[in-house]
Amino acid sequence: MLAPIEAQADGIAIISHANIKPYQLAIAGFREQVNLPIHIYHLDNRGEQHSAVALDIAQQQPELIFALGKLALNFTRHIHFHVPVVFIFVLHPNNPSSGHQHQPSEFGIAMSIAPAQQFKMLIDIAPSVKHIAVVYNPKKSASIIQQAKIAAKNLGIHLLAVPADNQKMATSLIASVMPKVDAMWMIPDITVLTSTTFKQMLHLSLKYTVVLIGLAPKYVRAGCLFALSFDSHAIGSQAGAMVKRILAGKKVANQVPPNRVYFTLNKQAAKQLGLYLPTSLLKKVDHLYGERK
Amino acid sequence: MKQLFYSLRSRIFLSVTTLVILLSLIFGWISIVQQTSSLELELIERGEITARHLSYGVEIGILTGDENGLHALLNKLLKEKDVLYAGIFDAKGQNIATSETSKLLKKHADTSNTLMLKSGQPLSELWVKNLWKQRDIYEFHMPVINEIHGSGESMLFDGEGDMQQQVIGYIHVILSGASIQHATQQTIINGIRTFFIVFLLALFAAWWLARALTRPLAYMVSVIEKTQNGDFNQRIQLHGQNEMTQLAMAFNHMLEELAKRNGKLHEQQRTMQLILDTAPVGIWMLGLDRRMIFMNKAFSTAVGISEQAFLNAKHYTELFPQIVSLQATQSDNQCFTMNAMIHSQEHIPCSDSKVHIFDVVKAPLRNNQGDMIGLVGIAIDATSRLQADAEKEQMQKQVEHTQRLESLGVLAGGIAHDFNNILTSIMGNAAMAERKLKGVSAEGAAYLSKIVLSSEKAALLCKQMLAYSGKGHFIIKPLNLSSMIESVTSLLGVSIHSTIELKYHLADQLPNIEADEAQLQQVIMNLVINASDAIGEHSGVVTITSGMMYADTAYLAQTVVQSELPLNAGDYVYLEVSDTGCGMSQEVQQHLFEPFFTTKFTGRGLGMSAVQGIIRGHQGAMNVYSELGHGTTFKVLFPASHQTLDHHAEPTPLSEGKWQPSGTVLVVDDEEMIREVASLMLEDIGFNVIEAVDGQEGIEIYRQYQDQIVAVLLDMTMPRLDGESCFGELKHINPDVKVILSSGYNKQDVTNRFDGAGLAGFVQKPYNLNELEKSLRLACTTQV
Repeated sequence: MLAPIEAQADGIAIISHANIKPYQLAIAGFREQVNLPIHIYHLDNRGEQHSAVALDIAQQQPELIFALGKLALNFTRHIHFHVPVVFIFVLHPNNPSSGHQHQPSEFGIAMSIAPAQQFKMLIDIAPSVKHIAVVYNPKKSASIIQQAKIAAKNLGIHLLAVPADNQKMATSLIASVMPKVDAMWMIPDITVLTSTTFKQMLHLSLKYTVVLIGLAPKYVRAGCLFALSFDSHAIGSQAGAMVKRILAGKKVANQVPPNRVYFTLNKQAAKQLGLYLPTSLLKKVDHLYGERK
Repeated sequence: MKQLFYSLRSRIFLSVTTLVILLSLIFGWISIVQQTSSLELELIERGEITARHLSYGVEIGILTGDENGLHALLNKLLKEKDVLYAGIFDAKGQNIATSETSKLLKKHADTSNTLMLKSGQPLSELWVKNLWKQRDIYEFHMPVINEIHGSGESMLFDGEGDMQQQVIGYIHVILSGASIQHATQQTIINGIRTFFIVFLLALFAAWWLARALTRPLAYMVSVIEKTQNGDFNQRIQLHGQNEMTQLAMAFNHMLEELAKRNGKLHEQQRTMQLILDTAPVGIWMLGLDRRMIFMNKAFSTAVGISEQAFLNAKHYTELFPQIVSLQATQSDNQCFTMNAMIHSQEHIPCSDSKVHIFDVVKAPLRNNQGDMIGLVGIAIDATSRLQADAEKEQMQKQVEHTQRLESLGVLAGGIAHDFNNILTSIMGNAAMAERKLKGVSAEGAAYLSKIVLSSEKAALLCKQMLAYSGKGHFIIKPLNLSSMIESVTSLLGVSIHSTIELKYHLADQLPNIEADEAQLQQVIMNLVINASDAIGEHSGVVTITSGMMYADTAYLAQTVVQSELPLNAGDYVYLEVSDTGCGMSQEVQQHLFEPFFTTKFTGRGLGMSAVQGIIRGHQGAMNVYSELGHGTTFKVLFPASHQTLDHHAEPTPLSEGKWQPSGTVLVVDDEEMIREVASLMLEDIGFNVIEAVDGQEGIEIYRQYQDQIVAVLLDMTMPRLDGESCFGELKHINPDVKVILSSGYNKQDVTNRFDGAGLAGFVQKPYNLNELEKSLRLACTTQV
């Protein structure tokens, strides 16, 4: 652990472990809100440069650290920079398996959309859906499954939550449960959600006429019926606003949901499923796929 | 057979059939190729789709390692059409699943390895096909692509950059091309069947088309052939609205026009033929071969050779005598050689067995290009014209001759008139001198008597000249010719040689003729003396014949001496004087009546001229028949008169003893010597005389002394006022005036002009004292 450096705080340090497009969009949104000097640090997956990055950040003495992704959050937890940390794009910030505990000075925006919101949208689009299946890793997604069960119960639908410890098991379970339900729900669980399982779910959804609820717009584009997701730029902008409040000394919740939900819909998939899309619903769509030009 | 092959129907039939066969073969071949290509493309497309579907279908199986599912999928695929084999390989080329292999594939294809394995490299493209047409199989290789939506946490985020593709395996599909071969063979078989059907249909269609096209043509040809034979009433009867019907309508219209034109042409030909036939000229045409191609009827009739004979003849010698043929051939050659119009005159024997003279024009006959294609000949019978020209020339000569003779007559009359005036003076003066010398000088009186005698001969000569000129002293009265001949017999006897015998054949019952007695005597005397002179001193016979004959106009027309007026046919009394003398040559006969022409040494050449003038003056005619060495016959004709002999004697003057001349006589004459001698003679008779130089002066004097003037001796021809006008004025002054005309012209001619005007007398110049006294006595003692 590095000792705190007594120096005048200066600007904000942004730590990212990948230079992927969602991160870039988020940083851009963040910059629009925060008018302070910003230093961006990238972490490699192998950790070979982590020490140099930590030293550099310590010497810089930023007023706040903006962490993008779980690796960056864990990096701040490991170094202890003694400055507030605002994180985004962290799926399970409080997961004990990571070896790091949540710090009081950590503030973040959750990656998941509330299950109730998704199920309600599902019923709006496909009112006949009564049985929903979801395959999940109980070690990572128990809480969201718990929320989902409550939400399903409230909406009068049956949620078949099938736990799987690995991808192979998930594949097998997906193949067995999809013929039995009306909809398949994808959750942000990277144990279950792989490219293979997605293809499998997509294939089976077409085969058994099962509504497939996507996780992001790219899945809707690939064949899912719809997805409620967050927007990377909006997330970054929301984080910037949070930073300005923290630096202003105002009280901020440790984890807040995304301010804006992004609704994408595949019209072609709806057609194959025999669903009618009312105009009022289409007006809510942020981006519509599968529409013939 | 050759003609049949080259006929339009055969050509159409063969062309259509060949065309249909060729088109059938071409389209059949194209159809087979296209169908084969289409089937092959379809098979390839089907193989591609099959491979593509299979690649999608096996993606999950490969990802999930579901080998049983993959096997089931392949076996199910194998049941599809043309699929021989299907295999699935992982990304490293290891076989995951394989369908059962058919026998055909085992025989031809190696399925143990894929193309990827042979090359040792992964497929660089999304899918690859490999076609082995030689083995009639089609191979398709298709990579199985797994589209990766991310990994780890990136699966949770949106973003296109996260999308990746990964080859997770390959599929290998082999399709059989047997269906293409089978379809192609079936197509060929069907094509051959279709071809034969089409060929048969084509044969029928070609036959029908050829027949449909050529039948109207054949029909039209038959109509045209009839038209060629001159039948323009033929019409093509076609129904419908096609081009053939339009052609037929056009042809019918053309036929109508041709019929009209042909009719007009025939009409023109008939008209032309009529013109050519009725033209009073010969018209013919010769071809370049010198054969006659046309001859008109007029010439054919004229020469008495049929038109057909002309057309059949190869040469003129077949139609005409040698010389005529030669002449015609030469003019033909000249026309052909010169290529120009030529004129000639050819003598051609005609149907009247006479040789006619034709004016012939031969002109080149040319076609539209101006090339000579023959000649046209026109012959005009010039015989009549030439004869008329000759006669006209003869007539002209005769007229000229007559005019010359008339001129001579006028000249002779004028001379005789003047001579009479002179002789009047001579004879008057001589008579006066003789009277004065009577009993004084017998010798002087004898000389004067000779002067008077010579003057009387001169007066006789003047009389003959006047007779020739038709202005002799004619006193026309009915006379009997035979009696006249008999009355001059004594005179004739002394006028001819004693060796000549005079014979008379005088008709007893002859009609009278109206003639001047003295002149008739002169005619008889002249003819008889000429006859006597023709015999000369030889012995011979002069025969005088009289009689009556009927003379028609033809006879009268051929007489040598005719009156100026045309003579009428009728009864004529004739005098014929024949001799057995030397006769006259033609030349002598031509100049027989010319004045002053004589064959006699001492002749004056006025005898026959006087005879001619006398005959003309009596509206008579005369013929001359003379042959050298065989004598001459003159036949003189006088119109027979129905008047009887005039026995009324002229008013007889008072006897000499009872008449006592007294009073004044006005002598009106422009000739001074006449006035003088007349005055002498009148004074000698016992009259007083007043002279006037012309008619005008005579009137003035008469008006002044009419109480004294008992008679007027008036000349006829005077200046200022002639005798006739003067006579009228005198009569106007005094209707009872006694006027005695005095003229050198004949009395008849003069008195006719004063007929009924109260002329008291006429005295012919030259007159002597006795004649003047006789006239005055007659005038003064006779009531007019």
